[in-house]
Amino acid sequence: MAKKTPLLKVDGIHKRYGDRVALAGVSLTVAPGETVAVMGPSGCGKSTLLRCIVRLTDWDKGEIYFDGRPVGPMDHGAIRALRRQIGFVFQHFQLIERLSVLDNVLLGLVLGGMDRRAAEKRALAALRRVRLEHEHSLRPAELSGGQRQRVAIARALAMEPRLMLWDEPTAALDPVLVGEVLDIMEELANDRKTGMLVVTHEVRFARHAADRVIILDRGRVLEEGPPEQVFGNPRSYVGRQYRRLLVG
Amino acid sequence: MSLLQDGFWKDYLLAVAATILVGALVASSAAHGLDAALDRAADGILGEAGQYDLIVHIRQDYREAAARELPLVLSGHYEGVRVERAITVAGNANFLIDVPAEHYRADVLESLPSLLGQIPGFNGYTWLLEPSLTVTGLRPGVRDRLAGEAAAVPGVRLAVRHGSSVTVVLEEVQDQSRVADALNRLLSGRQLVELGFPPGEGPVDGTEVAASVKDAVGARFAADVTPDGGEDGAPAGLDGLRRFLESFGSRVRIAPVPGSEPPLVGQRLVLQGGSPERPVPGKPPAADHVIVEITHRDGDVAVGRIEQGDRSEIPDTAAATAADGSSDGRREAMPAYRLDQGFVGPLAGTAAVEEPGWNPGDPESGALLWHRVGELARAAAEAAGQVDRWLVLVGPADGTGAVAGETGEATRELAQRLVKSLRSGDGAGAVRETLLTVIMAALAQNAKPDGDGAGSGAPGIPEALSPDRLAALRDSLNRLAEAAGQLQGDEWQDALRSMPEIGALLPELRDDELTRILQALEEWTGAAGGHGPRIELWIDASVPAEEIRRAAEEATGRAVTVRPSASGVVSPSPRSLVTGVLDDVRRSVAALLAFLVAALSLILDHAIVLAAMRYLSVPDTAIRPAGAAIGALLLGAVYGLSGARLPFAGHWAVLAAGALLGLLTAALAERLGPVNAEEIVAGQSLGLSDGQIMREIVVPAGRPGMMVLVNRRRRRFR
Repeated sequence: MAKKTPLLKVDGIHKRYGDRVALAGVSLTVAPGETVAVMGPSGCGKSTLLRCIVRLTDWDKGEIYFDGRPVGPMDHGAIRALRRQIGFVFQHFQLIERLSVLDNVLLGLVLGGMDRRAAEKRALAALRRVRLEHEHSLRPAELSGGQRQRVAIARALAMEPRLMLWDEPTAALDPVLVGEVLDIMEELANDRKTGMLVVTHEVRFARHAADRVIILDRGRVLEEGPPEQVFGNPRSYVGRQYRRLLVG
Repeated sequence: MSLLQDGFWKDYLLAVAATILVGALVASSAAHGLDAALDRAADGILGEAGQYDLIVHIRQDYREAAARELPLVLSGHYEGVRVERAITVAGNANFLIDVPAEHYRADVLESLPSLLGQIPGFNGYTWLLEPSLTVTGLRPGVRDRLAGEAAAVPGVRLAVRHGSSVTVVLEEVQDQSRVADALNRLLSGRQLVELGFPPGEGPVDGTEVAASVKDAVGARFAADVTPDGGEDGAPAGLDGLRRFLESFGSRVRIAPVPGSEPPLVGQRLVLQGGSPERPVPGKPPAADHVIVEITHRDGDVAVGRIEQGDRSEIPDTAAATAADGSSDGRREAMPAYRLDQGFVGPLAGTAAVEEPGWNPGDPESGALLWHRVGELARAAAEAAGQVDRWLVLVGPADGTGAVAGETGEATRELAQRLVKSLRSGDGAGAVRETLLTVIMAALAQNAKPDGDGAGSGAPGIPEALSPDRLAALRDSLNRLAEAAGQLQGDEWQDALRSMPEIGALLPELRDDELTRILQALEEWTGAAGGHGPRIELWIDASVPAEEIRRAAEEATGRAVTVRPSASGVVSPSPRSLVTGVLDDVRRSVAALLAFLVAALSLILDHAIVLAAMRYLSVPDTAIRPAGAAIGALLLGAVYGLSGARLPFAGHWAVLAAGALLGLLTAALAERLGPVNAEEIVAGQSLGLSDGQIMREIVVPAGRPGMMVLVNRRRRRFR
C-alpha cells in the first residue's frame, strides 16, 4: 500500500526561550483522521509544539508541513488560512467573555467570511454535538468549567478543521467534569474524520482513543508507538511512569 | 502590517481625527468660555469695546462729588458727553466717558484731560480709544509732527496727542496690523538726535540747522523738533514763565577781589544783608544773612540771585550802588564771602544789588517774553479754577479754617500729579497748569521742615501760600488772562509797556521765594546747570550720528555734541493689552486642555491598542515609536487647532511633549489599558486578522472612549 502524505509533519523542530531549550529536534507526523497523543512531564515542550504548528510561536530550526506545505514560509494570509483548517482547544478554554456561547462559536465562521445564517446553522450543530445547544445564549461566565471547555471544542469543531490540536483540555477541569470532555474527545477520535494531536496526561484516553502515543521529555521525543507498545513495554523512564499510572 | 487590514486602520485614523477635532473644539470652547467670562470682567472695568473713550480715575472718597461734577463739567463744554460709573479698583473710583460722534475729533479729545483737573479727587485718566494703537516715548516735537503724519495714514481716523504719546484711532480694527506696520516703518526710519551747543554763544536756530544738516548729509527727511521751537510745548511755556518771573527778581552782581577769578556758576556767596553781624569765615551763615547763588557770568563779573533773604534786607546804600553796576565810591560795597559746605569761606568780592524791573528794550525779557504771555494768560484763566479748588482744600478765604494735615496730604497729591503731568510733556495740559505749578513749587519749598517760610497763623501753611495770598493770586491771574485775551495786533507794544503793571499784579514774593520757584522751574526745564542751547532733530535713521555732528558744526561754527535715540515705540491700546493678556490666558488654558485631551485619549483609546500590539504581528521595537508618533500627532494637532499657546513653548517643544506622553503610554500600556491576551490568542487560533481581533475582541473590551465609539459602527459582534 502506498504510503499516504501525512496531514501534519513536524520535522526536527528546535525552539529556545533564551537559555531554556523548549524543543530540541522534535519530529512527528499525524495522518488524516489519526489521533496522536503527546505525553510528557510539565515543561517538556508539548504546548510549545502545538503553538508552533499554528505559528502562534515561531521556531528556531526545522520545518513544519501541513498537508505537505511548509508552514514556516507562509505569509500572514496563508497563516490565517492554515489556522482556519486547524482547530485549537486550549487548556484554559480562552473564550471571549463578553460574547455569548453562540457568538463565541460563530466568531471564526462569520469573520472567516461565512454567511451569518449558514454560520449559525453550523454553530448550533457544533453546540448540539457537545450537548450545549440550549445554552447558546449564555455568557461563558454563566457556565461550568466543563461546559466552557465544550464550548471551546464546539468553536473549534464548527470550523470543520482537518486537524485538531488539544492542549491539555482537561487539565484545568474539576475531576468530576473531566469525563464529559473526554467523552466528546473519544467520540471525535472514533469518527476518524479529523486528525487529532492531543497533548494530555489522561493515560486512559491515550490508551483507548489514540492511534499512537509520543512520549516527550526535555524537548525530545523519547519514544513513539501504538499505545499498547508504549504503555505495555515502555522504553523510557517517563513511559514507565505513565504505565504505572495506568496499572494503578 | 496586518493590523492595518480589514479597514480597522481607517477607523483608527478616523478615531484619531475625531479625537483631534473634538479635543480641539472642547479645548478651544472651554478656553473661549473662560475668555468670555474674563472679558466680561474686563468690560466691567473698561466698558465694552468702543463704547467708552476715556476712564477717569477718582479717589474713592471723592466718588460721589466726582459723580456730580463730571457730567456738569464735561457736558458744559461738549454737549452729549456721557458719563457712566465703573467699578472701584485699588482705592480709585472709575468713571467711563463716552464722547458723542459730533465731538469725536482730535482737538476735543485732547482738551478733555484739561477739564478733568477741575473734578474733585481727580487721580488720572486712561484712554480707551478703540480700535487704536499708541505710540509712546515721544519727545514733544516728534509727538506733534507724528500726530500729523499718523493722521494721514490710510485707515487712521484721528491721532490724539497726550503726554509723550500719540494714540492713533483706527477706522477698523482690521487696519491695526497695517497701520502698526506703517507707523513702525515711519518710526524706525527716523532717529531723534539731540544736538548740544556750548553755553554762552547765543541761541541756535533749529530750523536752519535742520535744513543745513539735511542738505549736508543728503537725508530724505530732517526736521527741527526742538520743544522750544514749538508754540505750545510745555518746556517752552515753562521756560517763558521762568524768564518772565526772573525779570521780577533782584540780581546781585559780584565784582571779584582784584587779582582773583570771579565766583563760578552755581557757587553760593554769603552777604551780611540786614543782619547786625557780618559773616564770619569758618562759621555757618546766620538766618538773616543773605545767600546768593551765582547763575551766570557777565564778563569779569559774576551775576547771581538771592536764594536766602530779600533785597529789602540789604541796606539802601548797596542797592543804590548797584543801580549802575558799580560803586559810587562814597560807601563801601557789601563784601561777599564764599559758602563752602555750609560754612562761610574766604572773601570772594563785593556785591551790588540790581533792583528788579521791566526793561522793554531787552529783547530777551521783552518781546519774546510777551509772546509767551498770551498763552500763559489763557492758561492762567483755567489755572484760576484750579486755585479755587485748592483754596477749598486749604481752607476758607479768611485763613482761619486751614487744617494742616489735610492740606499737606492734598498738596502732596496735587504736586505729584502736576509734576507727572509736566514731565510727561502733556502740551496744553502742562501749560494750563504751569502757573499753578509755580504755586506748588513754592509750597514744596516752604513746606520743608527746615524751611524758612513765614507762617500765616495756620501751622504748616506758609504765608506766601495762605488763602489770602492765593485769593489775591487768583484775582491777579484772572486779570492777567483778561488783559492778554484782549490783546490784538500791534497792541503788544502797549502791553509791553504795561508789563511793570502786570508784574505788580503778581503777589509780593520775596526774592528767595522767587528763586525757589525759578529753581524748581529750572529743574523741570533743564535750564539750570549752565547748559548751552539744545536742539532736537528728527532725521533719517540711516544717517550716522557722526555725520550729523560734522554737518551741525559746519552749519553753526560751534562744537556740537550729538545724542541719538529712538523715535518712539508702537504699542497696542490698553484694551488691546488687556485683551492680549486675556488671549494669553485663553491660549494657555487651551494648551492645558490640549494636554488633558491628548493624555485622556492616549489612556482611554490608545493604551489598549498599544498593549494589544505586543500580541499581534507588530514588531516589539515598533510599539514605542508608534506611541510617540500618536502622542505627538494628538497633542500637536489639538494644540494647533485649538489655538493654544504656551509661553516659551514652541511647536517643536509641544510635539516633543506629545511624543513623550505617547512614549510613556506605550511603556505603561498594559497597566493603562490591560488586554486579555488569552482572548487575543483565541482569535488568532481562529484565523482572525489583527484588525478583526482589534475590532471584535480588544477594542470592545477597552475603556469607553472615541475608539470604542468609532469602532462600534463596524463591529460584527455586539
